[in-house]
Amino acid sequence: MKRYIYIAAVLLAVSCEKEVDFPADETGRIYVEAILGENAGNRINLIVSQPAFGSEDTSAEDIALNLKADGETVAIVRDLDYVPDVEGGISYLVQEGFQPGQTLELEAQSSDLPSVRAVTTVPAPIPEVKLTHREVLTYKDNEPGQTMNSLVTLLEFHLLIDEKPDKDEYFGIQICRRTVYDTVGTVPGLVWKSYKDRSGIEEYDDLYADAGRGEGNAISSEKKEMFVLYDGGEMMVIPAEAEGEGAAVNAYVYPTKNRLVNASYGGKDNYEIYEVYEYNVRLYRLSPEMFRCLKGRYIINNSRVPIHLGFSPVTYTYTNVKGGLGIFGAVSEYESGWFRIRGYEEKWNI
Amino acid sequence: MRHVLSILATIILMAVQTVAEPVSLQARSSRDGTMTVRSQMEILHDIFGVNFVYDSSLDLDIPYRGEPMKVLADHSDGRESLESCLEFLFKDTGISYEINRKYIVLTKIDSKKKPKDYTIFIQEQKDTLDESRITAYIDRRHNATQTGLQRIDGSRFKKGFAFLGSPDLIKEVQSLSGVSGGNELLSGMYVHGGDGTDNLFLLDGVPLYQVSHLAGLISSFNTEVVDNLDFYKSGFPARYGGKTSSVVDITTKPGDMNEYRGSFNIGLLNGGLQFEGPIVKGKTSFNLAVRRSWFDVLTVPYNIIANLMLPYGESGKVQYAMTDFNASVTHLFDKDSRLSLNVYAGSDYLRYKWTDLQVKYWEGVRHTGDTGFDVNVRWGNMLTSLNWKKKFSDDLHLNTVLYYVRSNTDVGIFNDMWEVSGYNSLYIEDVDISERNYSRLHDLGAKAELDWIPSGYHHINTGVSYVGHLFRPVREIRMVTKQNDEVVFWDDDSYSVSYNASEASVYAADEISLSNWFKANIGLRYTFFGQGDFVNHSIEPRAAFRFQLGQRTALKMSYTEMNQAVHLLRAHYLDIPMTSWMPSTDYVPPMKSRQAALGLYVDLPHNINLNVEGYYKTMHNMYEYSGTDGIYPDLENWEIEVMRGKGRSYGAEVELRWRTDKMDVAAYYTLSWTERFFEGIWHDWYPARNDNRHKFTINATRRFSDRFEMYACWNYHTGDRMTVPTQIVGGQVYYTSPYNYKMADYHRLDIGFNFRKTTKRGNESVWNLSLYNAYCRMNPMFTMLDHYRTDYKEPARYETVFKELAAIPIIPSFNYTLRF
Repeated sequence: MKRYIYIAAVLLAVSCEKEVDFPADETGRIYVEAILGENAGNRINLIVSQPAFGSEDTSAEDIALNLKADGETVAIVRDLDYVPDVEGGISYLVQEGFQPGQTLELEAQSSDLPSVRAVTTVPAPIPEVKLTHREVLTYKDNEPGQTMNSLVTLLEFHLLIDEKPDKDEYFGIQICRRTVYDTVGTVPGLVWKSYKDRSGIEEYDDLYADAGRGEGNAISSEKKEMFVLYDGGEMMVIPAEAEGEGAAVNAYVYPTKNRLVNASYGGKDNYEIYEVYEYNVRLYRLSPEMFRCLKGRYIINNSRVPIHLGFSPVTYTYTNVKGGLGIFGAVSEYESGWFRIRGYEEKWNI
Repeated sequence: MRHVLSILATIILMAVQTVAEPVSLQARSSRDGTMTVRSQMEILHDIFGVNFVYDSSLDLDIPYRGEPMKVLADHSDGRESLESCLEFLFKDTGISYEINRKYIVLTKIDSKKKPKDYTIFIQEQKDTLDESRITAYIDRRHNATQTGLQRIDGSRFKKGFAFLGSPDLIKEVQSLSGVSGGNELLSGMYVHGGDGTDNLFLLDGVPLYQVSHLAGLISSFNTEVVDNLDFYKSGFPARYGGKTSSVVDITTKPGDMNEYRGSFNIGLLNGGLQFEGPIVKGKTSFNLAVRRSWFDVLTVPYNIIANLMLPYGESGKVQYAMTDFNASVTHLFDKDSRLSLNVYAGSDYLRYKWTDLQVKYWEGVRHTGDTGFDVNVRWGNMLTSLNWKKKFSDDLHLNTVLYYVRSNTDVGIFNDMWEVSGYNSLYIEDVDISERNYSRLHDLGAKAELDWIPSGYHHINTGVSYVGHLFRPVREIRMVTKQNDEVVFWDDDSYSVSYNASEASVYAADEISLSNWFKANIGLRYTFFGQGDFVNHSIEPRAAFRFQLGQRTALKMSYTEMNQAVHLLRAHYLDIPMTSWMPSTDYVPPMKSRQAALGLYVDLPHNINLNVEGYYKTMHNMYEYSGTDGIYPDLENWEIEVMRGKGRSYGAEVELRWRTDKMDVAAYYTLSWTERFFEGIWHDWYPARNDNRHKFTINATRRFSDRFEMYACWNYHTGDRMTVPTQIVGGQVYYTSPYNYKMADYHRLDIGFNFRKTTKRGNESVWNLSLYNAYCRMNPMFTMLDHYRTDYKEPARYETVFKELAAIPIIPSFNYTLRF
């Protein structure tokens, strides 16, 4: 009896599905990934997407790219050393930085793909930022939407700007950490070389390097406080009380201990090598299009109910790349520069 | 005064506007020998077989001193005799008459409402030994100034189409032109491009927030107590406000003042009992109705069987029940003043529970614990209103309402996890997480409406209203972690918001009859909304015009503006109680709509009515939820989790009706476009989810005899729109534009049969047998992607397959009704 019920249930379930021919795109689209700002060395990545219901070898080699700032052509150079994350992708370096208020236009054409066009404006500069930090015991959400909170020790960075942002302004945070090695005494060359090679930058969260595949963090300034609209990655960002007419935000990362990693006492070598962490905090003012793109991807990646089921009220399909996909955004930037947390070392020193 | 009979072939129903007292018509025999107008009417009834239809306030017991009707009728034959008799009878009585086949309509000569303002429909004629009772209504739809008005009489629900055997009010409205129904079987109503949260439902003048049971399968309105329904999709009169897309104004029947009667019904979905009658004969009456579903009874054997099939230690339970209750008490102080107390209470309860007994052994010792979850959902409405209607004169009516409404949802989710592990020592972890989201909305309000007819050229309707809202959604999360029976972590977090808001309105409208061929209804509504520091003032013009182009044709046009200060916060389109009503704030201002409509209404020969309407509507401050929580919206930052945009909708609708004694056919066709513009979603206008380009419905009822009738309803509309990913970049899917896919067209045939019978005790019994989706068209409800690897060589190749999923097959149903 159970078997027949089971078979009937399976047949019923199978008979309710119908594979249909979806009038899908026959070709891919040009995918643009570009966040441009004040500094030179901005990068524009191009990828060709694959149609969802087909398969096609895709290469961006024959895409012709044109970039303008306030109507004037901007010099771009193909980065031949670029190793794409997605097969067939290419990258261009922009030779100059851009000023707040400049209108940037991008056009890309290919003989086989629909042409794309995107426009963005470099946002106003970031005003003076007051940065403080401290260690706190607080809750951290594991994943968006999860109800479980973990009580952990975090390192809190508090950023305050002396400005009341308008409604349609958006901010983002990036915290970078790098490992450096401090020595006490004279370290033999061979020993030191191995540690020197390990030094590098580890980014807690990056707004755009993994655009399309990672989470983003952005802060809406529709209210007086900076709000976090969503959170992800290793960094948590929450609104903070602002002083006066300004706006503030707190960003939290896991603290890292400075530690002794190598030592030698006695004999001819007396040395100690400490692994020390430095931080670099960047605050970005994002163009509205960039914020919408980032948020859209975050919603898609973190919604419990798949959007194409049709039950969700909003579908994030935003891109400002008309005719294509991706982000063509601009930022203004504040950078703290690399710093160590004073007093932290002493506490954590072994 | 007199009208030559039209060539109408059918009896048409007349619907009475409820501001005035309902028309209750009785023809009583006069057996005391006095010659009165009434007694002579009875004689004409006996001779010619005609029935008289008139307002109960008409005094017919005035003496008649002319030639007796019996004598007059003998002098000539046929129809001329009837006309001559009528002329003699009503001469100098101040009463005018209009012959409508077998019915003679009587009105006062000095009445501000001229006879041709009334189109009379006879609903039912019930003859007893003592009297012949005819209940009739005036059809204002054809003669109303407003466009977009549909008047559905309560009797329509007793005959003809029934959804799964049970008449359903919202399903009836969904079949009309200009209304998209949303997901199959559910009670979505997307009127002229609205988003489904912008329909004003009034039950005896009181707004109701939750209007359906079981995710929309059954509406909250018991058709056994519904007197009539006015549905507006454009041309809203000034007395309505608070929502932007439609008005569904439902009036319930007062209890019978003279005799006890009721009905009992049992069907596939639910059963119900209705009972009414006098408390004090002729003065006070009551009307009670209760409905309850059977699902919880039907799921008992299902739960037993399912649990028997589960592995040891696992158990599950599914339970659902819905109940609603209507009660009214009506008291007549005199024929011009009445007071009624109305109560409505509806509730739904859903539970899904699953547990798994875990057994683990550690060093030979048996340890057990439970893993599972328990979902408890309750939602419903409660409404109480006190309504006083006073008729100061034929030209001055007052209607006052005092009311309280409570809308609530309560969702509880309990999650239990138990785990045993360890290497050198035993480690038992037991985590209990409970989450509860509940929302309350309380409304306390009062309104007063005055209807004044100062002359034959003006009909003024004015009123004031006030409602105090209390919004209170709450979210509570509690987590306890135990390790080896010792509590190691405990977290109790709750978040709630509480908003007090006030909403006050004042309006005035004048129906101006400048001539027989031109009428205008000009109105203005002012609404104040205040919540905390947020204050909003809105002025809403309402204008409607009617041009009578000949006796059978009317041209109408209208322009209206509407505002909505209360929003439904929801994370999905399903009508399930994971929602909260929220007030407007600085960051979420009121929604607004503007709509213009134009229509042509024609009475064709052979009793055919043809209506053609066009509309154009814009909507501003529309909202879409943009958070990530797929089931329950975030309360803490809800104001910034909603995205603001705008919409527009335009189209044309055609309605064709044909009625005979034995056949009713109604066909509705809509051609429409509905678009949205949300800057955060797309850089241009895009089609809305319910952008159904074509919609066609045809309803047909055939009465073979008094005992048997058959009905059929065929629904068709172009498919709903979905957003389907069309591109992939590095394994990530991308949606290249919103609502880029139109699902397969939807069509469905429902047929049913009503078998009527008079029982030995003289009661009416009706067996309804029906087939929903008679030819088993599996209409898709949602889409799904299957993404699988085609080969295992590197680089990996994937194929994506797109599917539509359907779930509703043919559903036979039955319903038995006994009216006593």
